[in-house]
Amino acid sequence: MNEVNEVLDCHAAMRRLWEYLDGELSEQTLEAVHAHLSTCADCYRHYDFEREFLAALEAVQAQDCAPSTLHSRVLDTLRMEGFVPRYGER
Amino acid sequence: MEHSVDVTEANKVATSDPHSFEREALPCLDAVFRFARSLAHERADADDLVQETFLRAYRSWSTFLPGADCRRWLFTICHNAFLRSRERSQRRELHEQGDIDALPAVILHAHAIRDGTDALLTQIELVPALRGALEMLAEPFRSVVLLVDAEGYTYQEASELLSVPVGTVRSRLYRGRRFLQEILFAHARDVGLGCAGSHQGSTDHE
Repeated sequence: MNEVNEVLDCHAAMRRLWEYLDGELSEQTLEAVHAHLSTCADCYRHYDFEREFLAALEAVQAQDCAPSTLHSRVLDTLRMEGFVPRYGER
Repeated sequence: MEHSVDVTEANKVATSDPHSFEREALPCLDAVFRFARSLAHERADADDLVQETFLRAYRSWSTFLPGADCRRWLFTICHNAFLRSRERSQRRELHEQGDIDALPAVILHAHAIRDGTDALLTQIELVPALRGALEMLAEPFRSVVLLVDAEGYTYQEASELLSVPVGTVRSRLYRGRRFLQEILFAHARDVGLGCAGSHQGSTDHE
């Protein structure tokens, strides 16, 4: 295989789509997938969907915060161990 | 990653600061909460896990290496506490075959293009739909989805954190994502999005 000009067909490119989106590919393979996506509208459509899906998934999960009651509960437990908060509590 | 190695001089200095725990560990509480929620399905169990994690972390703070990733250290404690609690409750882990690559998800999307549900990301109330789907996603898939897709860990880092091979992280992650998409597409069909036979240029990856 040519180390510089790796060419991927649709099947090979789509198999690597998650790794491409996750930044888990080697530079050479990443460039090969990128090159394929830039010339294949069908595969780009899948890429675009998965990219938006992952962005939404990240956003939804990042919104979850521990409730204030849990913060208080943890601090109460730590105080019983001798912990003295200095910077304030939530 | 192993942090409970020699207690170095630097380590002693850092942990002799009575406020270092508050400064470094407590700001990670929301992240630990999210990770605990991904491990323990019941909210009450997750809260217990968070409390247990911070108690253990506080008691072993002297073993935390200054400059190390505190969030990751807490996640490891949380995961170990979860494994022990699960052993205690004798619950069985859900075993399911993972995906080896992205192709199953691409095929799923190709079907969605064909039945017109692929536009769901812009046409449905995605946040509540995705929240509901995440609630249905079982361990061990959910923790990997949380670690990689929300907390930004690499496959290798998630593998070390969960003490499983990288290939296992990969297959659980891909299967978990596809499961979420299956739920979303089903939800889109339930709310009337798409209709059978509405071809919009389906692709040939099936």
